[in-house]
Amino acid sequence: MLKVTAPITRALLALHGWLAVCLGLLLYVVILTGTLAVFEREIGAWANPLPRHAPSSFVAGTDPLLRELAGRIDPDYRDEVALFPAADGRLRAFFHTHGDDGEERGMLALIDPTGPRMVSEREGAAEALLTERDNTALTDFLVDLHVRLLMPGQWGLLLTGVLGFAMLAAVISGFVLHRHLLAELFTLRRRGDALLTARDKHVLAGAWNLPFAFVLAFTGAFFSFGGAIGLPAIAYVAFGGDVEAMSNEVLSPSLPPNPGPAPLVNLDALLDDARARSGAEPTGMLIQHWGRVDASIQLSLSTPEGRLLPSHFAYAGATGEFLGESPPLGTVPSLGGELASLMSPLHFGNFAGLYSKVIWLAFGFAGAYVSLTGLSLWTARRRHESGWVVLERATLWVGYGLPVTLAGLCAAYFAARLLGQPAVDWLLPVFGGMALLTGTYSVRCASVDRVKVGLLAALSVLLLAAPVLRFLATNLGWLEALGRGQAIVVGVDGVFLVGAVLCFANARRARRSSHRQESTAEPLVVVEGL
Amino acid sequence: MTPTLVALWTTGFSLVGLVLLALSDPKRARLRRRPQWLGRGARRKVLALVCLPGMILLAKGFYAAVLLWVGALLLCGWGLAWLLAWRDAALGNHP
Repeated sequence: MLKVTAPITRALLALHGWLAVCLGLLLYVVILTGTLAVFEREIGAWANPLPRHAPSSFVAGTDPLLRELAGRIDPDYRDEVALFPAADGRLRAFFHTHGDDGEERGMLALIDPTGPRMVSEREGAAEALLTERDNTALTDFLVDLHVRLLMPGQWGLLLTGVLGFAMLAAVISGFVLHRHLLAELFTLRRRGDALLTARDKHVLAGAWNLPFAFVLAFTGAFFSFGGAIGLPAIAYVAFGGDVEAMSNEVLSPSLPPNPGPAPLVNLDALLDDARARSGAEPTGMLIQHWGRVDASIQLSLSTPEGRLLPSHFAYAGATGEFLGESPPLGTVPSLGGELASLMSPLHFGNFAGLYSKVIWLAFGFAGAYVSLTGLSLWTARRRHESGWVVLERATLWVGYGLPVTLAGLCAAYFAARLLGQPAVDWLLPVFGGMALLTGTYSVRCASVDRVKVGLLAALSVLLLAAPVLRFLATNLGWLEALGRGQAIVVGVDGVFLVGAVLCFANARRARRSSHRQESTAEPLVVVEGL
Repeated sequence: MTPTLVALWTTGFSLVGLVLLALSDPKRARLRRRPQWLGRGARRKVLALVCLPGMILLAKGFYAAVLLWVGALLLCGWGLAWLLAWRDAALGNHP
């Protein structure tokens, strides 16, 4: 048990509470969307399924497609080629060049690995090409909401970085504040005072979630500030502000410059070589100076069974010579590089397939639950003080309105596809409209207790509608999906349907509870679960 | 054996100890007005047993399995606390 004096306890309580009041709702948005983003690939494959299951995005037959494309595009675009799988399993190939003004321009091709065949080609500035991706619009929106809260430029990263540190402060202050935390690891009083039960549930979820909350907050802040401040700062100090020069120095294998022409090695054979060496699947490829003697290829591989960190291989592009395993960061192995690369598996939980993802999902939900119940407790205790009822309604709005809005986004995405419209243009207006609608409902609803009932009922309906619209838009039924090896479509549909039933049951329970409380003198709304 | 299987086995082993710790939790016993049937020293030994698989995995360098073991164990602990509270409420054991 930690021993702290009364003034420190009061100060920590104020810090813990006011952090929640000022940033709790935004933190909840970041945590909940991040939790769902753990399953970005699965949601992507569900939203835009491939014609049939593909074991990898990098399949045999990719080389001729890329070679044919490279032969007819602007030769400048062969300066750098990034190959990376989209969330829906299709392969993106971005042939591009870095202009003197720092802007990247190029050709973005989308390859269906089940053919393999070229799906689309678009030319233009990188920023426009990489933000107008209709095939992964849903997952891109979810990730953008998590990473940047839909804010432009670096502002979103800065804000989510601050939220990460706020979460760290809340975790530490919560640990010190609840001095009996370890002694109360199994204490949940379910009878008597509802506020006491709600407090126990909050403390219990917080206590068991503590190590993961700390890890997720720290790694999240690292990614946000790393992208917004860290990389530009290093580039400014060491490379005169030239981010590209820094990337080349830190990430590229060192080959002597030689702009002479030389055909690129067969990429299919190179991928097979990497598979044979590592036993892992390629997850990304970066080709520099395609068609030159000094061409280099860096290959990222999936995390091998039993390891935390994935491997990275380097090859000479002209000869196909294996140059060795690259360190995750820099040109020589270092502790800093290892620590920096450790952030990724710790934040995304993607190192042991579905098992680790489910654990990360559970702790993500626990984090969202703790932030929401904490705020709910704070407002419930101050319900009779003027002004706090606004925050109470705002908590219910964001707490239940965000899942409603996200489920509505899924429905809107499929509705757009059903109508043959670009889904990417629909998502932001639908998000804004639904946020406004749920906000208005939360403010206008006659009773605070009924806000939760209404939003849960709406969530139930939308969770039910999404799989139906998915079926209508993709024309892929469950039996056909299973026959094509796409069990993930059935799985995600099932999660939505189970969610709909649970929300309906919760809405009914909340309605009964609301009726009971309306007949008593002291109503109390505490968020108990999603 | 894959790290997932290793993590599952070790979590299973630790879970037995965790159940013992939950059932003998002093505060829970106090709330239920029941005598504490496992002393402080015994509880510490059980806690050491709960942590043992994680220490072994760590010493062997199975870091992925350690993370899975910690995550699964924390989730089991949280679930166990809810389960016992639900059971106690159903049996009318809680004040």
